[in-house]
Amino acid sequence: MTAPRTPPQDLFLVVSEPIEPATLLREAASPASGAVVSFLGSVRSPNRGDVVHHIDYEGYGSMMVAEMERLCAEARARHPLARVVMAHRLGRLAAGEISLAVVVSSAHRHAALQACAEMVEELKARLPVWKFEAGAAGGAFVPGRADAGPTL
Amino acid sequence: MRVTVTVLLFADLRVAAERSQVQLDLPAGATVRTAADRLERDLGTDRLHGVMCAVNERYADPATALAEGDVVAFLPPVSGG
Repeated sequence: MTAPRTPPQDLFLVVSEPIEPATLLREAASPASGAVVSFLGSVRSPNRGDVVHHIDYEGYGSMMVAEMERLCAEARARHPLARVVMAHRLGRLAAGEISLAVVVSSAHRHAALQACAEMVEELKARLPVWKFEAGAAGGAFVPGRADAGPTL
Repeated sequence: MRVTVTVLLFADLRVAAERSQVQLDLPAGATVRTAADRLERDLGTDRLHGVMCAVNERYADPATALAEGDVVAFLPPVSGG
């Protein structure tokens, strides 16, 4: 007889070092999860026609984690999920480097695919993160969106 | 009674204010909007227009009343991911 096993906690990470997809996939996988879905977002170059050298990511770290927890709880209310792992990197990232990773496991693929897609959209709308994009012509803050909360 | 709150600034707001954090001493009954108005006056800008607000790490309405020790964040349009 085995003691009831506590399901592993979801993982919400704000990191400054490179994101390692293999590590996050391992965290989310389990024998009971027939489906593991991952999304990796990376620094795009060219962006809107201009070569991007790097992006400086700035974030409100503690609120990023709080929003990750909240939007994950919302997704869990809609889909049967095993484990959710989210990581957002801050600091200076070169073109091609991974800035965001979302890994979702579930018994079946539909829940994992849908939940992953929904959470990526929510993360992009809600995480308090700002990008300063640097290219040949200097740099600028990337225009963002303000639909996550009321505005002044 | 007055309330002292910590205000966090990010992105272009942080650059304009040349700091990432300020303490504000506000009258009793102050709201997020009171803090925003004070900050704009102190900084001599109207940059907070269109900015989102958070109180204690949660998106909040500008009409939210502030309590002693609250952490208010003014969040320019976000672009995570």
